[in-house]
This record gives sequence, C-alpha cells and structure tokens, in this order.
Amino acid sequence: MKLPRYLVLVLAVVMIFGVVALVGCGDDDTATDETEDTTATEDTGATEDTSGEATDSTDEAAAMDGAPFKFGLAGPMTGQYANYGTSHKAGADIAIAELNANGGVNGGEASYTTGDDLGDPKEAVLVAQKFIDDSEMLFVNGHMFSGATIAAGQNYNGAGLTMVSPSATNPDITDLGKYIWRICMTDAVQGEGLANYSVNDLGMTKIAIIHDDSDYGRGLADAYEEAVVAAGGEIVGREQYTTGDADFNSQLTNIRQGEPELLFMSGYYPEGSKIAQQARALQMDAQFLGSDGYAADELIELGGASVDGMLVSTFFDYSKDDPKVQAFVEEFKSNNDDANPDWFAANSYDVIMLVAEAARQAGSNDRDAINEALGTMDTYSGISGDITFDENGDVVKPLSIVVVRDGALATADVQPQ
Amino acid sequence: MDYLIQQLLNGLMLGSLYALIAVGYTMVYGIIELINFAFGELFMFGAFISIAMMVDSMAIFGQQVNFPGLHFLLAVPIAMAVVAGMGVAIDRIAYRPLRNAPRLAALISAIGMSILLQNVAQAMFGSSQVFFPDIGMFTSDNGLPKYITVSNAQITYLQIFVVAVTVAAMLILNFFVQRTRIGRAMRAAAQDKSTSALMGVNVNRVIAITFIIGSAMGALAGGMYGAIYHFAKPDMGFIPGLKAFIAAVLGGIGNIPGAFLGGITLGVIESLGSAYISSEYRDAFAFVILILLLIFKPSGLLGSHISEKA
Repeated sequence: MKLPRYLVLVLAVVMIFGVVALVGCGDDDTATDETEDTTATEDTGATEDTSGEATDSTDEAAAMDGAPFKFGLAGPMTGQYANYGTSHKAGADIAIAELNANGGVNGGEASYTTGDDLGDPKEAVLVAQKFIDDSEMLFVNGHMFSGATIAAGQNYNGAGLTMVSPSATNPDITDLGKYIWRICMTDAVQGEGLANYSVNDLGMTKIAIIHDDSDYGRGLADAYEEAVVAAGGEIVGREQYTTGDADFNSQLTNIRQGEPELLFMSGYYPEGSKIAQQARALQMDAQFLGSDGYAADELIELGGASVDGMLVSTFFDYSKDDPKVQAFVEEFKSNNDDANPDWFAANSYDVIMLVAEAARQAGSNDRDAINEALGTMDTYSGISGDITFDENGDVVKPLSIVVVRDGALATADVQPQ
Repeated sequence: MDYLIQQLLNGLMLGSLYALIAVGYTMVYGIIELINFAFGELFMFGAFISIAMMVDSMAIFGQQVNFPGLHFLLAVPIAMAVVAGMGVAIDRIAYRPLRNAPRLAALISAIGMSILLQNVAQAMFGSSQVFFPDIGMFTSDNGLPKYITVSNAQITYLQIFVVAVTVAAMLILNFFVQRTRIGRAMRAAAQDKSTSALMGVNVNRVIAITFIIGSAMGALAGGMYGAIYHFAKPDMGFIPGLKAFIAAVLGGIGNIPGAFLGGITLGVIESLGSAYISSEYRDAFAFVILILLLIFKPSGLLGSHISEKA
C-alpha cells in the first residue's frame, strides 16, 4: 500500500476514462445521429436528389423536361439499424442512375429525397407528413420495418400517396388501404411456401424445426409447421432457443431423437451457423433449410464446412442466371467495395423500377394515375422475381431457394414449383 | 439411454467451461471477498487472443495486422499469459487502491472494469462475430469435427479434450493450493489477511498470484469455448460469466473443488432440464437452482465442508 494517494488518483483517472468512454460512446451515437439527421433533413428539404450518380445526370436534365419522377425513400438511415437504410439507399441509387440514363420516366427526371425514420414509428409519422406535404412527390419507397410502416402507412393512405414497402412483413400492413403495397412476402406466406417446398418439391416427410424466440422466428415456424402437417408431412421435433445463445446441443439432441430428414431453421445466421456446426458434430445427416434471415455471406464465413449444401430461402438470389440480376450485382459491387447485394437493396431497386413501369403504363407522372396502374398492371419481372399484386396489395411472387456451394450462395437445383 | 448419455455428455462439456471460469471467481472471492465481474471479459479476451495467435492476419482497430498463425496448443497458453497480465493489471488499477474501502466501492469498480473491457474489445475487434479457425487435429478431412461414438452417443475429440483439460487444470490447481508454499500462503491470507501479513506472508503478492491463476483459467475457458463454438465476439463473456458466478455460488464460493462441482452440476442440470422439461426455459434453470440453493443451503454444496476458503 505504498503511495495510496497516487494509486487512488490513477484509479480515479481510469474510472473517469471509463465513464467518459461509455458516455462518449453514447455521445458519439447521438452526435452521429445529429449530423446525419441534418444531412437527411437537407436531403428531404432539397428538391433534387443528392446522390452522386443522379446529380451527374442533371447534365442530361435538359432532355428531361417532363414532370419529375420524384419519390420519397423512407427507412432507418441513421442509428442502430442504419445498415438496412444503407442497403435501401444503395439499391435506389442504382435504379435512379439507370432510369435517368434512359431518359427518365415519362420524360421526367427521376430523383428521391430520403426520410430517416430510425426504424421508429414516431419518427415515421413525421417523415410521412413531410412527404405528403411535398406536392411533387409521386410515391414512397419504404418504410422498411413493420412498426414504422404501419404508423406511416395510415397517413399515406389517408392523403392518397402511394407507398410501396420493400421489406415490411407484418400481415396487417396492406389492410390499411388501397394506396399501400409491398413487394416482400409475409412470414405466413413464406412459411407456407417453404413447407410446400420441403414436402412436395424435396419429398421430405419427417421434418424438425428449430427457431429463435423473436416474433419473426416463431411466427415463421408456426406457419411452417401448420403447412407441413397440411401437406402431409410429419413434424418429428420442434425446439426453441434464445437469440444470442451459443450452445444448442441439448435442443439438437432432442431433435435427433425424431430422426428428421430435414431440419428447418427459422431465425438469423449468427446462431444458425452454430446450429449447423453442432448438428453435424452430433452426426445428424438431415438436410438443412434456413429462413431468409440466413441468406447472408456471413453464414458461410461463420459456418464453414457444416453449412455446405444447406438450402436457404431468400427474397433475392444474387447468383441467378439472369442478365438483369447480374447487371445489378455488378453495379452494386462496383459501388460497394465488391460486397454482394442483400435483398433489401434488391427490393428497393425493384420497387422503383416497378413504379416507374406503372407510371409509363399510366402515361403520366401523377399520384393517382400511378396508384391505379399498380393495380392493373401485368406481372412485372424484377430482379427479385416476378411480381404480381393481389387485390389486397400483397405480392404474389415465387420463393427463391439458394444453396451453399463452394463457399457462396448459389441457385438451388430444386426450386419451389 | 443413449439419449440420456448424450445429454449428460453435452452437460459435462458445458459444465467444464463454467467450472474453469468459476475458479477465477471463487479464488478471488476467497481471498479478497470481491466478485470480479471482469472475469467474463477476460474470458472473452482469451478467445480473441487465441484467434489472433492462430490466424495469419486480423483486423485490429480497423487495421489489418499480421499474426504468427500458431497452433491452437500454443495459441491458448499465450492467450492465458496475456490475460493473466491483464488480470494483475486490473487488480492493480481498479481493486488494490480500494482494498480497505467499503466492499461496495470495489464491486462498482469491478462492474466499471467489465464494461470498459467490453468497449475496448468492441473498438479493437469490431462488434460482429469473428470466426474461430478449425483446429487440424480435431477436424477431419471433410472439415467436420472428428468424433467417437459411445453406445450411440457422439462426442467430438474437442469435447473430450475440453473435459480432460478441465479435470487436469483442477487437479493441478488443487495440488498447488494444498501442497505448495504459495498455496499455503493463499490459504492463510484467505483466512486472515492481516495476521498472515504479520507472519511474513506478502499479501499483495499472494493476491496478484490469485489474479494470475484466475485470469489464466478464464482465458483457457475462453480459448476452448471459442474453439467449440467457432466464434468470438465482444459480449460473449456476459452469459458464461454470469453462469460461472452461479456455479461458484452453487459449489460454495471460495472453495475450488466446489467451483468444479458447481460448474459441472450447472451444466448437467441445464442439459437435462432442456432435455426433459423444456428448452424454452433453459436459462431459467440456472437461476431457479440458485434461488433454491440460497434458500436451503446458502453456503453452497461444499461451502461448509472445508473450513479454509481458498
């Protein structure tokens, strides 16, 4: 206990450093939020899109003298879910550049303004108001999360502004009204589609399920289980785990008892990669089938040899042998450090291209005409698959299944029929 | 029967890892009556440093840094040494100045340390999962783990290795505490710090050694946990740290064989609980056991069995 005062001082400094580091982290977040918020507000305030490529295209704007094809891009652009907004924006930038390179839409320049909802319903309502008040705004590409989408969707529908969500899966959303659309399938539809795929296309009869404790993981597992039974399959085991767990040996030992031919995993890849490893270590030879939360290159990075041959449901297959898809992937990679696009980017791109097509069919850049055309247009062939809307505004779209092969996600040989 | 054996093996493996971290809690508590919440983070650093030693290059603070690419059996001891040093430094900086302060102050300091270390790890290694490389001697040619079959129950080489290392570490530790001079000094300091100081025991040195051993055990557990579950991540230490603390209390805090017994018991209870009751309540079993124990046998399984606390 020499120099106790000195040590107390050192301790005090460390503690203060610790507190500052902690508070600092919080501050950092807030600071970032604020700065980026300002940017986002500026974006929203500006009449023209601020993205690089679209700005480049203003040179050609002389040729585009029609009413502008302007829309709102809504999603979490900052904060803890900012990665979703980043993908959303990356997909939109590619669409804008492509539209403007081809003379815009109905002779009008394509542009967007961003609305940052932070993934929060309260913020989403404010974003909605901003977009509704902008009379040039033709439609909204967003929002991304179900909660934010429901909150903002009520306002859009009331104001007669079309909203097309690329990613909100809650079933209630499209019940809000005729101005509300989406191009991703609900968890219930995906669950049913995967069940039919498992039983009818793959011919599996003994099926086990492992799912996480989120609404998504459980909801999807419920829909899947029901549809498997309806299709004549047998559920030989169903287990739950907590998101963030690392040890699944007990659950998998239970599942192994039922000797399943196929194990359906409903959740996200961080746990999924470990489930696959532990199942293989327990010598389970069942075919693995993962939900769309598994469709990420990280699954392969973390899962190694154990995820080889795993089937994964996805809303966008980046390896699809389709020139449209490959052109998009190429463009995305060159803009984003060679990363493969995720389905959020692909769906955002598809929303814009789909509405642009509707506007062309309507023949004018007008809110109501576009909404009308969305309801009457034929199947649109997008990069995320063929898109048709039902009378409710929900998408009718086939499921895509990819398989882990040679360290990447490739189109699976057997596709849902 | 095969099913029961498999679940027991699962529990034994999980319990071994809890036991190794629990040793750190129990030894430090035995001597300075402090719950060092930073052990969960030392466990995490053990996993990260093991990975760093095993790969050729890895991003640290966003920069690619070259590493030696050593064998697992060499990487883990290095991680143990580094983490042992960290443990001593933590004691020196955050606990020793508070040795004679109210115990609450040291506890708060421990929580602060735990959060600080987690943030440092996040800054260094990023917040997403890092892959723990395959270990050649435990992996077969097709990339899957090697295993043996015991009456239809599968156990991988790595799991056997983990249990064997844990048992060996516990035996060595017990020998060290019971049979060596420093061990005797530890037990003396645990019973009465000031009296043992009067008898010529360098108490601060004994405490430093306690931190070295406890932290090294945590790092050993971290390295093996990372190898089994193939990942490391800055918040990975929180739940295992908490479970290990329960294991230490379960076995009788301050008692080394107790920590071992507590860890194994907890692992087996969790496995059998999710096997025969429900996997949804898996984490709850640990806490239910803790509450029951505190009501019926607050001193823990071996708490009153051995009089000295080290």
